[in-house]
Amino acid sequence: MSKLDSTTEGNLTHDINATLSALLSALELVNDEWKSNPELVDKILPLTTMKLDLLREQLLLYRNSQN
Amino acid sequence: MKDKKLNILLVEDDLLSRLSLKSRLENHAVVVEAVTSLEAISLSETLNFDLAFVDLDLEAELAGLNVVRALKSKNIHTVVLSGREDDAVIEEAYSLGCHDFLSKPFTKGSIEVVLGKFKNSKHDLTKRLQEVLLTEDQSLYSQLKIIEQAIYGEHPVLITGETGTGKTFLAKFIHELVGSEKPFIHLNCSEVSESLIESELFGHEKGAFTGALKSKKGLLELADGGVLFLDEVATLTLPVQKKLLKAIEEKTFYPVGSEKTITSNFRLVSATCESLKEKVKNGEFREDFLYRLEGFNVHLKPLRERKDDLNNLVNFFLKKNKRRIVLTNEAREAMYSYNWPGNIRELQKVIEILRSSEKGIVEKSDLTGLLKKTEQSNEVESVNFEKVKSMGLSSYLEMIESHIVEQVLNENNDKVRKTMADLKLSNNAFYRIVTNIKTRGGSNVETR
Repeated sequence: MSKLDSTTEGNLTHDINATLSALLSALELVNDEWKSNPELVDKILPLTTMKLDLLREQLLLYRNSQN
Repeated sequence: MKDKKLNILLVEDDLLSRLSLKSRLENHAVVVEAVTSLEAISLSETLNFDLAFVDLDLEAELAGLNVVRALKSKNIHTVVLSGREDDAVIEEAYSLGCHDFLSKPFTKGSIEVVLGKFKNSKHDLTKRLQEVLLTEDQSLYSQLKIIEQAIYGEHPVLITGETGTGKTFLAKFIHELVGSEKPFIHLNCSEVSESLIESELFGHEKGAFTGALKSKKGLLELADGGVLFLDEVATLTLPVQKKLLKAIEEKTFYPVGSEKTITSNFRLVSATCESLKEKVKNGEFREDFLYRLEGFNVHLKPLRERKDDLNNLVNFFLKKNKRRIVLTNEAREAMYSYNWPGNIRELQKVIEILRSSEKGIVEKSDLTGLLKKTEQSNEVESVNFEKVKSMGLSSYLEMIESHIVEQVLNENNDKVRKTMADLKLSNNAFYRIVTNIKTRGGSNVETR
């Protein structure tokens, strides 16, 4: 893949940061609540897994764009 | 006083982010969610919010900016959340009225800082300081404004000032601002022996040393999430300073005898009545440790420089107890003209002693013996100020200390330990002075 133009790269950076943020907040919450609030954790974990897959795709896209 | 729950508007289109942030914020607030900018603006028109967390990219790129603009007119404290790294976007968000811009990814710590900042902005800090420190000294206020900044970030605070000026009091006040429900761990470093201080600070494992019959948590670990107040920090030894520096920088440390790291996120407040810069110069204090302690510095003036506050302080301590006493004008005058070398602590003690005496009306003569015979002022009066000016204060003081050490050494037949004990000098200080004497070509100082 060719190098991305600066706007697309900026958007991709934004998306990766946003995904990381969602994952970080979710994992912090799981860390704090897994004993006291298992229902919340049950709700969050599937979404976290999906988000992790999305991150993998975004990172791959970014890496390809840099080659 | 328990804070009332805040009303927060959370505008975020990503389900996982919204769910996590909502769960986090619900500990402090009633949270209303919105997914689009239109929904957010509509909610802000029908409900009252104290605070809003707004993602910038919603149904369209930068649609969150419309929300920021709308919330400004409602006077709602707005926190923007975004993964955008472009300065132009950050500038636009601020110019439209956002109060804080949190860069994604952020942690729960950043959210707590923003919430803390918002809550504290609702308090009139100057008024509270006036009540707490009983001061009307404007220069002290402007200095104490530093604290306002310090509590928003995670920067350490270094409080300097003579003994009795209220350093511990101020540290407790900072703790109150940070959150009184969080731990406040106070250690007077000078009160713990050199051999025990490491275990006191970092904790130890069972069997780490003779007498360690069971594992013990250290103060750093106990201060997690709160304030660690190190009083008389100048008395810490160099090896402990080194270990503490690492723990402060990395937020992790090893308890004595343990191979397992402990993580602790504490706010460091330290205090000293000594000049740390001077100690660095003398090789008694690590320079890198001093830089680490010096996030925000507050110097508390001695009472003799706060004469305008004396009246307030005297009245405060007089009214503090149910057994009321009164001071005659002459007694008050004597108190106002006294130097108060022990500062506020001494003033409080004097008033307590007066209250516990039989008299209800305190006269000037009742103060005799209580006000420290103005020894210090006599000493100061005997100083040759012209000589100090011509030599420079440091050289003058060096000359005086050299003279005293030489004389006491002579009296003690050159016995070093006795001289150090008589003069309450540390090893380093003693040998520094002796080196000075030798450099000056002073008398034949032979130490044994």
